[in-house]
Amino acid sequence: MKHQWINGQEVSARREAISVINPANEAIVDEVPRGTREDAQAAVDAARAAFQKWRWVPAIEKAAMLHGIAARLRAQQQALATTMTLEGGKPFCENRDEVEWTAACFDYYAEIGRNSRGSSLPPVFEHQVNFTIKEPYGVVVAILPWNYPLLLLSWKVAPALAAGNTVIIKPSEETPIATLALAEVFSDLPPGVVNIVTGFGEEIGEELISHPGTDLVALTGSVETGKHVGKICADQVKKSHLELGGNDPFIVCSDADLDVASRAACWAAYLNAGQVCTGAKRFYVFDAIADTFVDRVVEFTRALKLGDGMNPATDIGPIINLRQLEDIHSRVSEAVRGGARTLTGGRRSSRFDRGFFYEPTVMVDVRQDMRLVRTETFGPILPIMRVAGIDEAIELANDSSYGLGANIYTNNMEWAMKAMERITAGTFWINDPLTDNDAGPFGGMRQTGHSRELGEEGLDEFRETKHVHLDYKQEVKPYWYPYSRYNGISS
Amino acid sequence: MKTYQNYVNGEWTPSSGTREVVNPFNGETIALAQESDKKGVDQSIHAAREAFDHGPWKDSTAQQRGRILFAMADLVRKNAAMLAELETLNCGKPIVESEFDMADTASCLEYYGGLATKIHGETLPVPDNALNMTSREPVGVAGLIVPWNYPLMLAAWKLAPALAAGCTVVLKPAEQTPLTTLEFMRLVQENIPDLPPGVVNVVTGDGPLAGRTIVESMEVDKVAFTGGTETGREVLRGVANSNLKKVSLELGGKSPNIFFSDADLEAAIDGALFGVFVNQGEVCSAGSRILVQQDLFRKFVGRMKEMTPRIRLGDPRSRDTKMGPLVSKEHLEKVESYIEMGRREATLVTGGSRPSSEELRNGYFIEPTIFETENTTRIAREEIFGPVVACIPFKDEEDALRIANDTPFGLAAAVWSRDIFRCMRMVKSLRAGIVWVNTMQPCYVESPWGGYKQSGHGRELSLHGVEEFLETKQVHINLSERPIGWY
Repeated sequence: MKHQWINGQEVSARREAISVINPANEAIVDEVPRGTREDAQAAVDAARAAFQKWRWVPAIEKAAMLHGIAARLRAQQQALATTMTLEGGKPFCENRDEVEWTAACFDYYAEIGRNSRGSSLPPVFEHQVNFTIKEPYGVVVAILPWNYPLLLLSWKVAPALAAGNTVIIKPSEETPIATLALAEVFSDLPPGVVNIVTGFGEEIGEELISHPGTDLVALTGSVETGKHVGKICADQVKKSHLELGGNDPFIVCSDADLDVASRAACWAAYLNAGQVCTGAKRFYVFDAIADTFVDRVVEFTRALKLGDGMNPATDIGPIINLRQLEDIHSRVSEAVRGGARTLTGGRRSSRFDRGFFYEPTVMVDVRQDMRLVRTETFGPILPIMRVAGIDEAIELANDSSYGLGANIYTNNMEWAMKAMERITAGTFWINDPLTDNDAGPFGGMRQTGHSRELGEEGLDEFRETKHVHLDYKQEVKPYWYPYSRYNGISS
Repeated sequence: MKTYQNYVNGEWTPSSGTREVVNPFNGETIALAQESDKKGVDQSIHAAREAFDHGPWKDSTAQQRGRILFAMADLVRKNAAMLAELETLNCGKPIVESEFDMADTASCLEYYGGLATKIHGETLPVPDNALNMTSREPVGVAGLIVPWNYPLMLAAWKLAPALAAGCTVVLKPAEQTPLTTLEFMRLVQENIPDLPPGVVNVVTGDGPLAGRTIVESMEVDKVAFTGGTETGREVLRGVANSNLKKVSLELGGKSPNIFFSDADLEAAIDGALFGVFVNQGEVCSAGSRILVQQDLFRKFVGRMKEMTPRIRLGDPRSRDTKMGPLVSKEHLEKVESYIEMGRREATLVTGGSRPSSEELRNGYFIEPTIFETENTTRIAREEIFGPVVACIPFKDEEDALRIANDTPFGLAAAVWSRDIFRCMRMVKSLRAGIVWVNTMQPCYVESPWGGYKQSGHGRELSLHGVEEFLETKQVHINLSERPIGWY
């Protein structure tokens, strides 16, 4: 059993452990501690104490440590990726890439932390000097989901550390093992700068969020969890940084190369078994080419290999747990009852005795008002709706309470630019779905969230501004008391 | 007839002699301006130096400088009709275009008025117990040398960022077209008492004497020049031979306007003609090479020829006039010499002559002129700065790119196509400071303007424009009071 990591030391469980299940075969991978409120308090105390020193560590030294984290992540790429596949089910090659992206994110923030601090400003009157400096918030709580446990951790932890905060990480109870293994990756940091605790959200997570000793909560999770966290933070006027669900549209125009667009659609819908916040979840296809597009997508989907993520031939792994699988199936069944047709898939795979495998599913005759497309369906489903042209596609794409990402396949400049400008989304991909860039801000509009990760904006989420006003001439100001001698500001 | 003097240290001051300022529509003299000698120019440089080093301007706040620029914008707006009419009278451009110029002039002054309070340095995290920051300071005395094609507007492109930055200036309009700048200064003198004397000085005169005096002065810290590439080369030599002052150059162009077969034909023809014939082709970013894909070439050039008669030559004061006279007799002769060259080395499609009408007989008019040629001819390689265009066919994207970039210039380029991939590939590979897609010529004060290669150094307009007038001072404040203990 792995241990929690608080103040640079392993802390074992105070009570029973949580079993982590391999979703591909339902075997127990390992056990992790079910962290308590006391564990949370210890982590907060450690992070608070460490903050008083860490914030003053020169940026160049912080940079060297962040580069060290990146190097150790790369050195453990195979082992970490294996653990991630065993606990999360994602195909091994995707996890291997995820470890590399995680390392790259630490490298990116290592340098940007050195480059910018604040600005010097033009003063309003002579003999005054004004400037701003950027300061860390203090103790950051990072609450992470199970779909990209290390990558999404790096998006929060790397900028938070670069900005001078200390961090408490709480991974999802579904996928905590690879995160606990990072204790070694973070071992060069002073004790308490990074702490990792495990357990359930309603126990240890709640304590971290509501503890007066934490200053910022960064969460990636569902809209429901986000609202809950936001309310607790609002009560304390604590800064929250919410990265919530998505329901991304994918538009295929009549001029698209359908060989490319149909394969792109399958990848965007089925990547990580559809358990991706920026996965494409609603497909709007121009009428003129819809038949051909559907045929190609169905043909390509049927050829995909469902299976254990450790098998190199596997394209799509299992769903994270039975509850999620049942949620997916209830949405699909409800759509079928409402008139939608399943062209392939549409059920739990019967090929496996164990594990939570759902067949990749192509659906047509889907309507915008079905639950399958109105709210986020976190599974390998590719629902297709026909549209007359770009205006209808844009209108339907915008008919959503989410605003994370959006995709379009076209060479037509007018369509691409019009859709780019009109669709409410934090990222807009033209002819290349789901690609991230460490320098490009990532995040959503509307109920998807209210902040950005990555890029310089992602650093600023973890810093606040102090404005310094200095007057190098000590003098009695004419606008002080008594007002009987004051004649107003001269211009 | 009105005689204008130089504006030096807040006063109208004569120099050694005068020059006739001519209306290019009829060749008549409309005013006299100073033909400044070295002494006259030096006097204005001293005034600017003194104002920068010892005047109240150096302690002015960004808010105060901003307010002065807002007041200048306001003056241009209130007097736009008078200034536009004078601009047209002096440089020959159609009145409608002069009106646009005045609106753009006001907008530029206003933009930099607002920007004055947003010029920021940085605070930087250095690996020591210290506070480290940068402070942005004015470069000093700036010499602004302005051309004759957009006289007041291009003066504002330089004057506005220079004042926002806190510089003092010596502004030299082109000797052919000084009138709007001088009238603008009169308005400023009468209406903006807060502008200290010596901050803005205007001297008139030619390049070889007055311009050179500014460029080679040991008291000027920065020169901003717009004009031809050969003169730009002279400016750099003068800078190198004097005090290595900072320099920004906005020079010539031979900008390609590139049309692929899938472009919307009517919009494309419109863009091709406007791109090169607006302002009589006296535009640094003129689309003076029209590159058309082979299968469309014949039809495209034919359609351009059909449309050319719509470009009505006439009295520039008339609202129906689409093209006025060239700025001067000398310039007309230079443009005609290129047309003669074109007749020998290329195929004339239309135009090429002075118009025959009696009304235009005394003006410096030349017809819109279209040639078919290859990229190797002189009319395709050299900047003509008049209504003369070289149409060149190309095979495919690669060929278009090769021709487009095969030029010593790199100011602007435009691509017309509906294929976004192709447009983006072209945008990435074109070696030019401004690239338009499916349009040509729009220019915004919010966005940088300037060229690659021999089209210049630096950028005007936008945040980039004010950078050219700023120095950076690194300030390092040690926060440890104990000795470093080195010895």
